[in-house]
Amino acid sequence: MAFSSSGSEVVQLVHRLARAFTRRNLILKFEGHYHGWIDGALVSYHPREGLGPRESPNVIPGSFGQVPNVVENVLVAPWNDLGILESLFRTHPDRIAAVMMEPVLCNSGCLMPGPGYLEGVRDLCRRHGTLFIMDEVITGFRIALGGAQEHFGVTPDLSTFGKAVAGGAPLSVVAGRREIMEQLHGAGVAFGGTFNGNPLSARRSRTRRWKSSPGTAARPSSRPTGRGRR
Amino acid sequence: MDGIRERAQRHGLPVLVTGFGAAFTVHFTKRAELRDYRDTLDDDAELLDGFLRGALEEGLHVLPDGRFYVSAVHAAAEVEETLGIVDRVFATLGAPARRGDAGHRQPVLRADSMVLHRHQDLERTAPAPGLFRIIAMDEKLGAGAITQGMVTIEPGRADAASHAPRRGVDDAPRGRPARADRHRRSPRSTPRPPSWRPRTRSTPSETSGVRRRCLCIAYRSVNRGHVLRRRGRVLRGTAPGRA
Repeated sequence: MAFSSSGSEVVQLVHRLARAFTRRNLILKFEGHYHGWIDGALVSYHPREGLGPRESPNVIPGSFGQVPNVVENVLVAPWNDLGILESLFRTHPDRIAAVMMEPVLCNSGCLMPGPGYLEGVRDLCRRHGTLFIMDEVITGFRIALGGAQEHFGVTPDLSTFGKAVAGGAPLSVVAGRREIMEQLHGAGVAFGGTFNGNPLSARRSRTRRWKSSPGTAARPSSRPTGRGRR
Repeated sequence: MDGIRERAQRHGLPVLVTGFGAAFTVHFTKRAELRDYRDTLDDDAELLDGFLRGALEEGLHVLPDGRFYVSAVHAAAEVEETLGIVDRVFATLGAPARRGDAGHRQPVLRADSMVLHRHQDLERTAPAPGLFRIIAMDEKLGAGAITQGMVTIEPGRADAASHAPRRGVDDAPRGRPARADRHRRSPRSTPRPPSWRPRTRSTPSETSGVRRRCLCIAYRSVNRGHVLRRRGRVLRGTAPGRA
């Protein structure tokens, strides 16, 4: 695990970990999915025009001022469609470092993954040596305490958490397979920042964990043991 | 989610509610299923706009895409209150004669809500110190320009010259020395970062003399129990039963 302050920061980190681990460049994301405001992630979030064909959407930057070549480093696919994803793997052999998604598409209408879709993506990634990244910034601690990966029973290679993880304090987390995360220890993958792993946020997340009991996330209308520190 | 579906059906609205309990979205669409981003582009933007405005006027802030977040502070009472608001707003959307008129209805507000024309007016209007959530909608820009922010009205600060005194707040002689204010973390009147102010793109000539139709609603934050705890002290008048 690695700790930072906001979701965008840990998205930057998982991109870097995935590219370093696979020695590949392309990150495949899905239309309408939001992974923070960093240059490399803010593409094809809510494009309104020039979308291109559904099976190979155009890669559209989300903000003025982005480095123009971000579009060369990202592939975009429609979500919930295994056939198209498979064909993209075929047309870009050994070039896709990671497939990244919101396991529930919260930022474009709270859409659920179709039956077997997450398992299918998991399987495709494994077969092509690509890492599967779940962005659980919204779903983490909400759909279940263990996030969407617990709820749907599909384990990604890397996942990101934010928001609810510290109940309002600035904390974000990357969790992932040991051999990927160990690149941060002297293997040349840089991750710096004054507030990465700061004790105040860590303390606050501990408080939240005590107050949450199993099942709380699944029954949001039931009151937990208290409102924060009382 | 079931409650919203049922009320939509009652009012004959084409509504699809997707998501899970803690995060869900109300779509105004005739589709039976939504699978990806492009499916959501067919959502009826006009109905959504009317829904957002109507809900906002009743003190319910729905995210601009029709999204709701339910968290641990929400109990059965909040769910019921929300469903009541949704039901009333759906009723106005379902009546064809009222379509397109949603922005001009007389607001029906939560009992503790205040309607303001500018967020700065909260200082005068707030009945007591505390933490307030402010939601502002620029009528010119539509529901896409909803902004919100938190404002702390603190007790006992000598009033700035540009603002009228707050009756019932500053009158009470429980102030701290004015000097301490300079070190306070968050000043009482929070023109906080420009990011949450009602964004306006009108020229000064449009605003001068004419009061812009910028609807602003303020109500007490549900977080008052602990957000205001500072230096081991709960601000007076903020926690339920302590006012």
